[in-house]
Amino acid sequence: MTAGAPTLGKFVLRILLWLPPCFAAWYFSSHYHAAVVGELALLLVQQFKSGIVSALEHPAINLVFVTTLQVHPEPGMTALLLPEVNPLLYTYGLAFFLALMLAAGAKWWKILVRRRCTSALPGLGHRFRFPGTSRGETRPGNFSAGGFARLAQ
Amino acid sequence: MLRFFILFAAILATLFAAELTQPVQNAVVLPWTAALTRISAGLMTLFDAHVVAAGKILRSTANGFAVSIEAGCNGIEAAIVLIAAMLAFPAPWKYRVAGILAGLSAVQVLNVVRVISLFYLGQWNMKVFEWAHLYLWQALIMLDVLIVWLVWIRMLPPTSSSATPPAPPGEGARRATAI
Repeated sequence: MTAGAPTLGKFVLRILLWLPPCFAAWYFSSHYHAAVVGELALLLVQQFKSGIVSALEHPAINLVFVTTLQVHPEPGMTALLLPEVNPLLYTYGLAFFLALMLAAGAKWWKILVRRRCTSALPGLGHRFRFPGTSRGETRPGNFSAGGFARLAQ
Repeated sequence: MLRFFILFAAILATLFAAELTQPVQNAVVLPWTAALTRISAGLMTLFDAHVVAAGKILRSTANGFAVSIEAGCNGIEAAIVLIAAMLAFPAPWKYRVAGILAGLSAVQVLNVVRVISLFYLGQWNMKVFEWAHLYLWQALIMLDVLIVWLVWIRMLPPTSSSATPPAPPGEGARRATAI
């Protein structure tokens, strides 16, 4: 053991002390890292099914993937599938991870590099949770932003 | 280290896949979730007579507030992560079994605390409930898993493996037999 290295108890205490500021930083910067995660998810989706997502909307914190998939809920009605996800459900690990790194006294460049790496994982989550969170919305003509879970003629 | 990660990922994937199957749901997940509900309700009735449990639903007869304990809130996922970490790590089997049993108890005790705290947080403020439910408690449960695993590693006999274990961050490669 190196001199001055923390015991397990001190390490846990440090994590608990770092968690509140890390969660605060994560939450208040969520708009920015959610955008990064959304772009990564979009990139992944395009790799597997090019053209299936025509736009990525970012109302508030949520991410809305505007797909080209059409459904016909009723005769004469056409709806586009707009899966919507709350990226915070998948990125809370960033705050936890940051608290772990800071508690362990990791170097700043390592924290930044590893955060870059881990931010790719929530993107995978969005990619594979698509069907579970999808909903229909009519978008006749163009794909302008606005309107949620609405089916109109 | 590489062997550990490969084994960990493989066991994790296997256990998560098994958890999703109907037989495991019927034999383990649903009965455990109902038991967790009853245990939580039993503890809460010690200080709150208005709590009732029905299946996986906890309800307050005082104000009608109810929560349903769903997959992800029953501590089984956290238990799977812990089991995978202990099975993947080189250790004698008796230590693995003891570690898994003790670890599962630690995870489930904290999970009961989570359920009870969320039940009352929800009656107080739904925004705080959502925040604690979706983000904070998830991290705390995983922290619990990490702590249990680190404590277990420290209790392993030094001769249990020729492989160098991943030491707790900031502690170099030293292993102690006591906490």
